[in-house]
Amino acid sequence: MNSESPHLSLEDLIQSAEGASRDEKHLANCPTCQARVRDWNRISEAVTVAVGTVEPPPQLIDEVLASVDHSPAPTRGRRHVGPSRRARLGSVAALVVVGLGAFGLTFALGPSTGVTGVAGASASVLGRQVMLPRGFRLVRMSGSSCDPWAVAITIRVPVDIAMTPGLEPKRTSRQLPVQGIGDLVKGPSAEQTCIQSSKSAPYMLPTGVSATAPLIPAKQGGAPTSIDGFYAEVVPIKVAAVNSPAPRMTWTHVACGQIPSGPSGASGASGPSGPSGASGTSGPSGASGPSGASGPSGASGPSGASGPSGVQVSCGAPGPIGASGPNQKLDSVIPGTVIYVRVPAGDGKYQLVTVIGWSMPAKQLVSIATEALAPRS
Amino acid sequence: MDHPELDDRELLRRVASRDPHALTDLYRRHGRVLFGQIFFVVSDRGMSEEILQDTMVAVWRDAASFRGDSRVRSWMIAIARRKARDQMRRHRSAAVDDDVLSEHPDAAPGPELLALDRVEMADVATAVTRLSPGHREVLGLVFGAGLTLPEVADILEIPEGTVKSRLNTARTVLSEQLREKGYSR
Repeated sequence: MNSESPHLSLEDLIQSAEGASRDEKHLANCPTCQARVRDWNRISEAVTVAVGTVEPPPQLIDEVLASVDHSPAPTRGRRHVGPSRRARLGSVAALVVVGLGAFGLTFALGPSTGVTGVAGASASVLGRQVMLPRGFRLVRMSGSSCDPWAVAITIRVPVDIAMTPGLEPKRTSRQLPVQGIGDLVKGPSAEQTCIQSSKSAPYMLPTGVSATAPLIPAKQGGAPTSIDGFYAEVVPIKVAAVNSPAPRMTWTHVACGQIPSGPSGASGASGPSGPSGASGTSGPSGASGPSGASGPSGASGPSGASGPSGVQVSCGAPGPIGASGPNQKLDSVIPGTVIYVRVPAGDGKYQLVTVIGWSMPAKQLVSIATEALAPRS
Repeated sequence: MDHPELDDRELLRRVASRDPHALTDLYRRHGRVLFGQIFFVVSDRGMSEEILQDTMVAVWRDAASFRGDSRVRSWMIAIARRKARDQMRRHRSAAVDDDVLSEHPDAAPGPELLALDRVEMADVATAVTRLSPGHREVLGLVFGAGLTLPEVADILEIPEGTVKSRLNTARTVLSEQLREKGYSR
């Protein structure tokens, strides 16, 4: 009870809201306090829900223990995931930035510069933070953009979406629902999206965008790689551009999809065909065929389009990607959004590719270089 | 080796003597609360993981400095908060910006007061996540981490009265948000 008020104190209200009333007699006879307790109870439940829905990564503690000093003396811990990681990422990022000014210039670094074993690896390039899906390791970074809005930490893959025929960028006006700044809107397993392509369709640039340079010169001299049957995960990622305006970027054809739980053959004529050689460095090999890696379920829907070898592309899953239906287009997204195309690659590994987009206001091409994500061993 | 029978202080003592299993046990006991609280404030899973990682490293490194005048959980949350603040500064985010923590007088119950229990839980939860980081933080510490108001005051390094003020302000802001959504008495 408050000394100045006949009503319950805040501590009492909170305790009562959590089921431990200290003055039940007053509470039973005071509608004001009853209402307040109900309010706090509602808030308590909401906070509990909000806080309790996130699980910490179980392997994080192993990574911590692997990184600290185990010597008996209570000396300062030594980590190789702290400043050293950031320093390395920073140096790599700086190199990426060097390459950002030139249109179509892909800047790629060899695997030796990669950062491995970092849980939830992330880095900031040009002030934008891009997170890697948990369970993968950052093995390589590359980036390409003439637009400072779009940056990415990427990992190479022997597939280059930008060179894929049939990815027809469409200018549309539909908005992609996105949460507030700083939120990771959807985890890599929350939504599945398949990028559909038509082998015969040429790659189309939006009006005003020059096509004099390849979008991503990742497959120099080689034939474009089809992405038929590849599955994508759309991972809108909010970046650190807290105070920046958000020019819209438009993305290519994206359709809701589902990674089948059973073995499938996504390659056909279109599977990853080996190292793409972005910037002359070879990517991971062994991109044979899909191994039937299972994706999240629940993405089933009507009107599926089939990949070349039985990979089912089913659309209709609700979600923030867009309306259901085949061959949906992922329309406007904010800068920093990364579309991960997850490709079953055998041995339980995935390969991933990011997709390019462009900034509508400036009509500048934005290419986010190829990437590959492999599950951590 | 797990130490389910040991209390937090003993676990922390063992951490100070470099028992990795003790740190693992502490993580299992408190990692979820820590992570939930961090995520609740920073709203970025990757950053939250990094902060949690930094926190556990600090627990390992500084276990011997635990004075024993608070609960171990409070001590760990305080570390997490410092790490979060450091991270947010690095990312130049205003997530824990004291500017957003301006205090407002408690809203006395009146005809305009919204009874939150009449509101759909989903809307309340959504509204909670839209509160300022400072308000989310204090709500998370009280209702998520289950700390007492004095413990919260200790962690936030503010007077207990300010904790109460922030709680009341958070409730008022929530009510206002929900009223704007069309909920009204």
